[in-house]
Amino acid sequence: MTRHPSTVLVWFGVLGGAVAWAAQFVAGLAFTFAQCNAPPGRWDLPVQRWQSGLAIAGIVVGLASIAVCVRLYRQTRDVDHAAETERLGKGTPPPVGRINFLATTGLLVNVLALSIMIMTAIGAPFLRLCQQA
Amino acid sequence: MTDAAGQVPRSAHAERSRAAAAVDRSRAAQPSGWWGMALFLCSEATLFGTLIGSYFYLNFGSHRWPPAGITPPEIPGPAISTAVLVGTVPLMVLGAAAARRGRRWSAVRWIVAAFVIQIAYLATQVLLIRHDLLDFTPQGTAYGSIYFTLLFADHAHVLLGLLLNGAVLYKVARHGLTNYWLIGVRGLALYWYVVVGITVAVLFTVLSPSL
Amino acid sequence: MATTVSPRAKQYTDELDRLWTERPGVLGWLTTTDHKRIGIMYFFTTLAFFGAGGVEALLIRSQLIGPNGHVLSPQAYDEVFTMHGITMIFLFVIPMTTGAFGNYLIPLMIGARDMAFPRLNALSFWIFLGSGLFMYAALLQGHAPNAGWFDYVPLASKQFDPGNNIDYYGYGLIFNGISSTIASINFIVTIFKLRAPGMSLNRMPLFCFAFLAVAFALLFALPSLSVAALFLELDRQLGFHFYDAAFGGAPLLWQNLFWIFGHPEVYIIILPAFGIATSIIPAFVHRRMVFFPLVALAEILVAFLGFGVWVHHMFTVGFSTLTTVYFAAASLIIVIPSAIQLFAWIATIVTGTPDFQTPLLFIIGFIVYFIIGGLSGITVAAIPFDQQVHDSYYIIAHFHFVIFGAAVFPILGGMYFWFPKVTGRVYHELTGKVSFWLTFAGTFITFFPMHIVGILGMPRRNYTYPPDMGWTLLNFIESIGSYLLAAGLILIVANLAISYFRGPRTDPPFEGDTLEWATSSPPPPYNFAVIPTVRSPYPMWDKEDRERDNQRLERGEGLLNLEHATPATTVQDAQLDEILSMPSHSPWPPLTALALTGVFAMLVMQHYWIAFGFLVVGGLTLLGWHQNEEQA
Repeated sequence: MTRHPSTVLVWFGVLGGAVAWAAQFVAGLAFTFAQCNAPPGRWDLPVQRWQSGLAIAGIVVGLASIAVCVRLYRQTRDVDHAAETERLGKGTPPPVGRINFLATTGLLVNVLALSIMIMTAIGAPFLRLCQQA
Repeated sequence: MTDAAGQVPRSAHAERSRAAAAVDRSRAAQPSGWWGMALFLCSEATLFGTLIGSYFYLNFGSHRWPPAGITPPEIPGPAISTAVLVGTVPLMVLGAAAARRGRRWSAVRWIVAAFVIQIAYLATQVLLIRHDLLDFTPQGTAYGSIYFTLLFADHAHVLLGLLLNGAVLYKVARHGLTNYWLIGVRGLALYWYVVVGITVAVLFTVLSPSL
Repeated sequence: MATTVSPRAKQYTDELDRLWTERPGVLGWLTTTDHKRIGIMYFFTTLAFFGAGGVEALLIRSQLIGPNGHVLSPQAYDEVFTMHGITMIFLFVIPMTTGAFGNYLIPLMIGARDMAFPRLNALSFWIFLGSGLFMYAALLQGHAPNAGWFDYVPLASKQFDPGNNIDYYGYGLIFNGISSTIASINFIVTIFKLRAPGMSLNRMPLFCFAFLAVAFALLFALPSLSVAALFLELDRQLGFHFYDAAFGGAPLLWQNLFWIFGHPEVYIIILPAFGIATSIIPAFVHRRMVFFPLVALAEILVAFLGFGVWVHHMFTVGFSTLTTVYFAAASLIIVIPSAIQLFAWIATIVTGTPDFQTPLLFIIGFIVYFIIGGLSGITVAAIPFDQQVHDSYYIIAHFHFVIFGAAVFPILGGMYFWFPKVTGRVYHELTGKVSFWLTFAGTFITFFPMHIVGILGMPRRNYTYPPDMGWTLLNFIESIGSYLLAAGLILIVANLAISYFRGPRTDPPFEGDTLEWATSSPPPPYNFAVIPTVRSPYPMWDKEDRERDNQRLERGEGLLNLEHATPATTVQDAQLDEILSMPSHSPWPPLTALALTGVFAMLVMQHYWIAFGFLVVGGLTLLGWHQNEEQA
């Protein structure tokens, strides 16, 4: 990997898990609301299959984000930060120290997002469909 | 126009088009006015996200959608008029680009062209809504309530855009493309990009029973 | 900080004074765009509403001091507890933190001379004032909102609440929401664009991080409330059917929309308190904040995750477990960023050399209450337990611990902390300590027994209770506690009020680490004579930089004294980008707010065409606003 990884990769690392959680959340809720709040017979959605699938997809993205963060962290931790801060301005790539910071941030964000997705996923296969809480 | 060190511009002093364009080019970051409009549009986009979410919430909770006795919406009329509105986006892009190059009257022409089409769009939508009201009303069912509220909210934003068009065009034509009004033109263009995007989302939502 | 300036430096500061001083008198205050004056106006207005909300609380506790109380009729009780909730949340705690503390302090902390949009700032205050008076007009009319601060349908529908009580609520919240939306846009742009050169994002005070998170949360949460209120008024006024099950509507839609706003709202309430705590702690323990970047990240995470937990207010409505599991999971995980901050505060205090003056005492009180309130919060994140205690006094205990204990205590501590800076006088320290202990004890005695009486089954929002339920003694204790709490609060206000007029005029006895402490007390109208040099998150501890600023003043560098100017910088690295010319006094914000008040007043009276007329007038005031080529 080059000294300055692509912006897309950095932001995937920081936000991938959080975005995956948000997507799993919105889509999962849509499915459960649709199936369980609707009058009987309106829909016939395989809700638990969808929930499991969304959870797996989200967890995979979350793990990938964590992997990216770990790799970025390792690549950027031994950097002369003082030298990097001189080259700021329009059009210059972000300083390597900033990428190191973002990688650390991403680790925390993604671990939390992953935890939520895993906790949600644990419930999905075992809960009886549309049983009231 | 620059500060004592001659390094950064005192932007309020850019009262002519070329000077304003030079300030615009020299900035490394978006101006405050652009940020203000962008954040306002985040709020409005969230508003429409909530309205669209409410539409589907009511949809999912119903036995039939639309309810019995209401014809599913027609696609051609709304789709064509919305497509025409989408066509004003390149015109606003060109208007904002012309303003950023200091081309005052070119910017005015592009915005006026978009303005005319936007007025025609709104007039068409009023006719379509009047037609819908013959079939069902907002007081008849929850479907009618959310359908007309969603459309009215969207068109209220289009109307606000038309008023903003008028105000910005008047100021630019009368007082010139100062730094302030160049930011105004950029903000106006941003407003239209987001409102057109919202209109497309609203279109897909209200036409969803027929898709 | 006392500064003796040379004649040359005084010449420069006199020039800046001439540029930035606003006109005196009432007209000056009406047309002000100075963020400090606006902050002060917010402060006194919200304090008045706090008093009103407090009186409402005392009426509630007096009614419940014994069984079968007769202080309030059932109808009056409904109005009082509803207005108490609305007042405390929308008219006190949010505008006090964002409007008073945020407006006054943020430009000072970031080294700016004003907010990004000064006239918009004034507009947000006048709209807030209008919305508060609008809602209290309902009380004066005897038609105050009466269905609780979350106003569930179908109770709040026209069928069951036919008067205009609920219309004051619905229109009032939309009205109030405009003020908060404008304010949040102003905060974000100010924090992004107006930081002093060198104050990159990682050098920004934690107070500013908290307010950035609050502003984004407000921006994305308020639309949901506005839509909910819009649907409610369309149902009530025009016969729409959003919430009407008989016509295909969904009463639960109200609850979902309300709590999509309502849960982020409680983080909006608490985050500024976190910011105040992170300002006070380093000042009194003489140590940098432990885990500074993690605390900043945690503040943002709390705001973000707070959007995913709203159904935990609705665990008893009958959603399926497949739905509620999403919210239970997120509600448990959101504890972690809060805990990170808690550990950071405690670690900073323990590893520093604490000086237990009044402001720090309030922060320690805040930490105690946040821990207890947070623990009860974790218990109700568990669905089965929540289903037992929902709508009982256990919930009232939980949220008063976190809202009063954990959000208001930092406000009180902040009042003491920044009082010397804002007024140039010093409060009486011993009285301050006494006021803290009274308030702390009063809070505990009032709200802790509510956990027990809630588990014993006492429901909330009941105007009285029978004598044989085993709740009598605990309610009596709670009511006595509330009078003690009131005494503590009155002592705080009295201490500060008397000190304002008779306290010693001297430099503040303590100093924080952020830039507002670099100015005189009170700060001059232009805030900073020279735009400060910033090279760390603790600029007041960088003595060489502050000395360098004094030298630059002597040389006349970085004054920006040719006009009413402040610098704009880039978002991430705060590199100087342009010099902005800022507007000064303007009549248009109060006029626009007046027109908007007319709109809502006419709407609630159902004079729709006159309301439209006021809207047109409002549009005309906006044209007047833009007649000169100033920034917004």
